[in-house]
Amino acid sequence: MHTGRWIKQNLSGLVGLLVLILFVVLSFFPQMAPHDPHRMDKDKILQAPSAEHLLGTDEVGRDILSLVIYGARISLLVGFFAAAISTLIGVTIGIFSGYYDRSWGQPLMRLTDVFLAVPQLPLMLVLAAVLGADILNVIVVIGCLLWTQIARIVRSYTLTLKERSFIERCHAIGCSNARIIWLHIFPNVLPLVFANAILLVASAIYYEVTVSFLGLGDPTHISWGMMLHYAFESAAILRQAYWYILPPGICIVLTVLSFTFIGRRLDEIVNPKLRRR
Amino acid sequence: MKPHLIVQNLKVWFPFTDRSAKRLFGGAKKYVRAVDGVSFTIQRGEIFCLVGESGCGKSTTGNAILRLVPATEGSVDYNGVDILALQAHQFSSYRSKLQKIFQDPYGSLNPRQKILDVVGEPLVIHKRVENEEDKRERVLNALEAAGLTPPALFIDKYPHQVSGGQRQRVVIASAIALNPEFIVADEPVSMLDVSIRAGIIKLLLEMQREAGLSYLFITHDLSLAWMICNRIAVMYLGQIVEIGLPDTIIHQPSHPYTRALASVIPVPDASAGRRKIILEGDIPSPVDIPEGCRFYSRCYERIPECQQTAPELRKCAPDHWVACIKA
Amino acid sequence: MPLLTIDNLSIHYRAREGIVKAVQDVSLSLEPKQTLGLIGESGCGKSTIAMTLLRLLPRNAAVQKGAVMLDNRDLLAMDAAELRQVRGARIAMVFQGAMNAFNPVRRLSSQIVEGIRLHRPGIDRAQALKKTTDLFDLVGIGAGRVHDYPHQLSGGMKQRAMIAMALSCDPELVIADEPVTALDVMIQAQIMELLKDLRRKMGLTLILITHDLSVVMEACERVAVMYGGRLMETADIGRPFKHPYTQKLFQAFPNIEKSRDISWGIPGAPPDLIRPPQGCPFAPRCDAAFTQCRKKMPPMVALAPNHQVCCHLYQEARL
Repeated sequence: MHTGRWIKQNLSGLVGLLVLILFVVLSFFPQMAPHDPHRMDKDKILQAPSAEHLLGTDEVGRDILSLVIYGARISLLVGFFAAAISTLIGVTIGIFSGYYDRSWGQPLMRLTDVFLAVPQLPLMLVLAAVLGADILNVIVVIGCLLWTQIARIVRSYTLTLKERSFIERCHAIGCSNARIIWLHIFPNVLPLVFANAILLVASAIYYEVTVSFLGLGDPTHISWGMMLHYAFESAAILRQAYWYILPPGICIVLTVLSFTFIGRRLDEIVNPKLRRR
Repeated sequence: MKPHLIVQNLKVWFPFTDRSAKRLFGGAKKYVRAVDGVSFTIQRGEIFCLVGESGCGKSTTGNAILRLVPATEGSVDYNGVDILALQAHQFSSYRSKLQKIFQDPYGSLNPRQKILDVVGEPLVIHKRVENEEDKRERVLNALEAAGLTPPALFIDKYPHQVSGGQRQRVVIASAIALNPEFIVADEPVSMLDVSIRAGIIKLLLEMQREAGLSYLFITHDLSLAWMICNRIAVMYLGQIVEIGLPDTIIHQPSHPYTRALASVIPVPDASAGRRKIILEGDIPSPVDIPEGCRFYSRCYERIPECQQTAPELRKCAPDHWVACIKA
Repeated sequence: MPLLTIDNLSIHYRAREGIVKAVQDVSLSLEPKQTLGLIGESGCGKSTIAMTLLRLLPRNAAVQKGAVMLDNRDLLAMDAAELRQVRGARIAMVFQGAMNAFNPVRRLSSQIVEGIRLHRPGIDRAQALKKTTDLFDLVGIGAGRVHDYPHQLSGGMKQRAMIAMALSCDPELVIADEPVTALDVMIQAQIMELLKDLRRKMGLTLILITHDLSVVMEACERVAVMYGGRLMETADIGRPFKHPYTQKLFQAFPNIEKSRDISWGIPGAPPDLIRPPQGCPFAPRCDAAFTQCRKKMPPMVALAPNHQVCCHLYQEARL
C-alpha cells in the first residue's frame, strides 16, 4: 500500500523519468536504428511511412526514424552540457555574491541584471552566427546565457545559510572562508540546485531546437531542431509530409516535458525539506 | 586564583542603517550599542555567568571575546595577551584554546556532515591528526568524553538522526576535541527539554573539574546561573549593573534591576508571600540611549540625580560590585 | 456540569517512518471558570490536543477514536459551518509565538474588528472598534495603539494583543499554547499577572499548555501531566504529586529556595512514539519501575475525588 501511494505521489516524476530513460537508451544505442541515417536515396524522396521506413523519408531520402534516433543523442547532449555550464556559472556567481555580499554582492547582481535584461534568444542567435555553426559553440552560447535564475536562487539561499548557527560554529572552530564555502555552503546548496538544473536542461533543449531551426545549428550533426529546419526548408508542410515534422516535434515536446516533470517533482521534494529545521 | 581572562571596557557598536528621511537630510550616524563598556575578570577554573534579558548584550559580549564579531573598542586579555589586538593569522592559534558551545542544537550542526566529520573538523583544521584512523580514534574519544556511549554508535550518523540532547553533546564533543582552556557556553541548555538539561550541565561541570576549564556561561535563566556558577554578572542594555556571588545576587541583590529580576524567578512551589517586583513596559531600544543611568526609565527607586551621571561599577562589599548611585 | 469533556481521545500522525501515536486514550474534563494546566515535555502530545480542540490538525493527522464534547456537542463531529461558529467565538486560542500569528500588513484594529464582526453580525464597525479599544486597555497595551501594525509592537505587547484578540468575541474557553515561552522573564511575569487578573475579572475558563511547571503552579487550579502521548496524572494544585514522572519533573527545575545541588534531571530519552513500549511509557526511565510496569499499561486510578494517577504503584489505593 505504501508503494501504491508513493507511485501516485510521484507519478509525474516517474513518467518523466521513464520517457527520459527511453531517450537516453536510444542515444546510447543508436545502432538500434534500422538504417544509416546519412544514407541518401534519391529514389525514395519524401515517402510516407511504409514497412521499410516506419516514419517515412526526408527530402533526400534519409530514413526519418533513424534520424530521430540519432537526433536524440545530439539534443540530449547539447541540453545536458549547456545546462551543466549554466549551473556551474550560476552556482559560482550565486555563492560568491551571497557569501561575500558586502564586496561582491552588488557588482555580481548588476552583472546578473545585465544578462537578464538582454533578450536571450536574439543574443544567442547573434552569437551563434558570429561564432560559427559548430555544436560546441551552440553549447557554450546557450550555457553562458541561462545561468541567471540559478545564480539568484543560490545567492538568496547562501545569504540565509550564512546566518545559520552552524556557519557561526565554523568560524568559531577556525574554518577558513574557502573551507566554509566548499565544505559547508556548497553541499547545502546542492539539493536546491539539482532540481533547478534539471529544469534548465529542458530550457537548454528548447533553445537548441530554436537555434537549429533558424538555421544556425551545426549541419554536420543531426538534431531534432535541424530536422525541423530542413523540413521547413523543403516545404514539408505544403507537401503535407506530416511524417517529417511530427516525429522530431513530438520527441522534443516529450523530452522537454520529461525534464520538466522530473525537475518539478524534485523541487517539491527538496523544498519542504528546506523548511524543516 | 590567577586571572584567566580580563575584559576591559569592551564595546561593540553596530552601525544602524536608518533609512528615514531624517537621515537623508543629515543627522548624526546612529549605532546600536549592543555592548557598551563591559569589564570583568574570569579566574582560572571559574564558571562566570553573564545573565540578562534578550537584547542586553550578553551573547554579543561572548562573540566579541571569541572575535566572531568585531569589537569597536576595549581589550580582552587572555593569559597576558590582548587577543583583540592580534592580527587574524596570529589569533588562529588561539582559536583552539577558546571554544564556544552554541544554543541551538538543531541549527548549529551542518546537516550534511556526519558526526565523525563534525567533531573531526576542528582537529583537521588545526592539524592535530595525521590520518583518517587517527582522526576517527580521537573523535571516538571526544564523543565518549561527552557522554555519548558507545561512541561507535553515533560516529557515522547524521545530526538529524540523533536527539536534541545528543546533538548538544556532539557540539560539546567538537568543542573539547581541541583540548581548549576556555569555553564560552551561550545558552547551552535553553532549547533542550527540562529533564535533559541536568545531564548536559553535569557534563559541563565534570569537564571543568577534570580539565580545569574556565567558562563564560551566558544565560537568561537566573535560577540556572545560581545553581552552577561561581559568580554572576547581570547585564542591562549593554552594561553590567551588578556582579556578585550566586547567593548574593539571588537573595541579597543591591541593584534595583537585579532585585526585580530575582523576585520574578519562576519557582516550582507556588509559594505565597513572595513579593514580586514587576517592571513596567519593555526594555528600551539600544539605539537612542539617554544620558545618565540606563535603567532610569523603569527604575522604581530613581532620584533626579540618576539622570545626570551614569553610575560606575563600584565595589560595595567583598566580591560584590554594583553600578547604582544608591548602593 | 463540565464545559469541556475529552473522552478517550487518540490521535495518530502518518509520518514517513510509520504511524506516530501522538495521543493515546486521554480523558479530561474542565468545569466552567476553571483553569487547567496541561504540562509535558516536547513530544508528549499536549500541543496535538490543543490543535484538536479547534480542529487545526495537519492533514497527516487523524483522530483514531474518542470525542471532545463542548456542551453536549461533539467538536470532532461538527461540520465546517458549525466549526466556524465555534472557533474564535466559543473557543479562542492564544498561540505560541504571537509574533507570527498576526497578519503583518494589516493594522491590529482591522484584524480584530474583522473577527468580532464575523461572529456578531449585528454589530457595526464603531461598536466593534470600541470593544477592541476597551480590550487593549484591559490587557495593558493602551487604547492609543489599536491602529498600529504588528511590527510596531514589542514581543510582550504582541502577546497581549493576541490575548485581546482571543477575548474579543467573549469566548467560553481560552486555550493558551505556551503563552510565555518565547518571552523574557520580566515580560513573562507581566503576562502571567495579566492572565491571572483577567481570569479573576472575567471568569475565564482557561487551558494553559506549557512545559514550564512554574507557570502552571502559579496560574492554574488543576494540572494534567502528559508523557509519551498518555495522561500520567491529574490533580488539583496544592496536593502533593504522586506520579514518579511528575515528582521528577518537579525536581527538574532549579529551585532558588532550596539548596544548590544538581540531582535533578531524568536519565534516558523520551519514548519512540512510532514503536511505543508495551507497558507504561515512562517505565524505562522510572526508578520505581517493576516488572508489571514494563508489561502492562497501568489504568487510571482515583486517589481522591479530583486526583487521578496512572501508575501501577497506586493500584491498591482505590479508595
